[in-house]
Amino acid sequence: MKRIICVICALAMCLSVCACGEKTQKIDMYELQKSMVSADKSLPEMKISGSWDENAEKAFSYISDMEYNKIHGFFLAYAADGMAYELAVVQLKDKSDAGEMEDSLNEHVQTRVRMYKTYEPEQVQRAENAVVKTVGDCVLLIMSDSPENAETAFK
Amino acid sequence: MKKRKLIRIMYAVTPVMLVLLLALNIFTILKVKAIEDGAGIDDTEDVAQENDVQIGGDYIIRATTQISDAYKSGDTSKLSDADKETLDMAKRVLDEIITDGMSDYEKELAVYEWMCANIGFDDGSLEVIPNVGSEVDNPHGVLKYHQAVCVGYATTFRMFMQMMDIECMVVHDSYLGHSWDLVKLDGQWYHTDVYSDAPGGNFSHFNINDTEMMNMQEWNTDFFPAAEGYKYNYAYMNRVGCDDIYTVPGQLRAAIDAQKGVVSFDFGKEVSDDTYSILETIMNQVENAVTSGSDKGVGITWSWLQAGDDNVFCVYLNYEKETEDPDSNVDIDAETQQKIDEAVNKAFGNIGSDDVIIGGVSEKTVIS
Repeated sequence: MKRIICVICALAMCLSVCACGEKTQKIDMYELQKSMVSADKSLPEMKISGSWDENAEKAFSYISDMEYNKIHGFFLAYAADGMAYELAVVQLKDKSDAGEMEDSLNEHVQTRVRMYKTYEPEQVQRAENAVVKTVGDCVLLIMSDSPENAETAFK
Repeated sequence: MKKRKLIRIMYAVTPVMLVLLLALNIFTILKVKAIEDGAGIDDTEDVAQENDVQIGGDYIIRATTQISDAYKSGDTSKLSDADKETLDMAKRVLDEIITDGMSDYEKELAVYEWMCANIGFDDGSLEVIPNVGSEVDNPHGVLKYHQAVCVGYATTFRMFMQMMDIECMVVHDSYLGHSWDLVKLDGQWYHTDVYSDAPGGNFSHFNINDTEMMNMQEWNTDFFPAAEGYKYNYAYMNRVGCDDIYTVPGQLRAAIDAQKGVVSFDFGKEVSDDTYSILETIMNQVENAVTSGSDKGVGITWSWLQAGDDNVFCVYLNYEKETEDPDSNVDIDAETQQKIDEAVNKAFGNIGSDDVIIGGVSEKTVIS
């Protein structure tokens, strides 16, 4: 009897360990940025950074204060001349962190809005209209004249 | 007997284990809380201090009194090599622009004008991941490479002021995104933001008071001194009387032609609602004319300055450097132009150089 109980307990433990964390399919961020950037013709010359870069964690810290080990990958495309054009996709390891990620991207957008108010007032409106939303286990940031193009490409 | 002994041991060990577990839990909770609390303090919250403040996540406001003190005392023995170089560069600037007998205001104006003319704004600082040259936030890099971000402008300006014994502070905004200077002249403080006026230097941020600055920025007014002066405001000092409101457009035209940065009109103690409305309408129309006409590239802003009993209407003008379109500046002689017309007409139909294409259809331009 004791042996049976032990085996059942061990099985239960294995099952509970296996249930921890939902496996997500890792997205190829480099390819994704290529399709999203090329889909939005309103974008000016863009600089690209992402999880494939050597200094990815540092680059990520410019758009979010979330711990880097909570994400699967990301890319960030931003205007080379500093104007208000940005595309970013962050894939999370745990979907339940999406709210936190959205908050930090919204905070990033607010920082950019404040900066443009001081230095480039014509950019403020586009920055204020930035779209931050969650799709599946990804959080998107789109700051552009026609955000729907990049979003469609993402889907 | 053995069983009893085991039970006694269990009775003794279990409470100890429970206490240890509880202590571990409390420790973990406190540790996590401490980490969470600490995370926010780093560089996101405003601080009531002038120096060692991080702006824009990358630029640090650092004191430079060691350099100004060395300049005044002549003792450079305690300076680092970089500080010595900064001092030499700063000395050369002051020797060039400061003359004997200048008032503090004139010295400040000379430094402002020199910085507007000689220091460039590093555009790379606006990028999401800043791409800036080296040392754009401190006087050493600013004077050496002539490129600066706001912190570089503010700390360099303050260093010059302190070298000349003029009280000056670097102010930062409440969001840690911008910095500028507070200068004390004749016992009163004024805001000066060279960065925001550069490169044109139209004086719209030169010696302005709290009321004007608050239209643009928020900062810790409990920590930084109040700026209530107007005596040394550039627009106030250069104001002209205005008996006829309808002369304003003409005076603005003349100012634009002369590439002036600021025109200011003294409307005296009382300004009627009609005057406000008429002036606002005039300015809107002038702005429309400027932005759509041949003065494209001229920026125009206006504001009222309450200077004691006087109401001063200030108009600030800035002139964008026109970037030349390489295609529009081609010098073609008449003979070559005719050849081009013939070649193009031959290939694309009868379209002359005076024609324009609208929606794919050629229309002859009407020149009145």
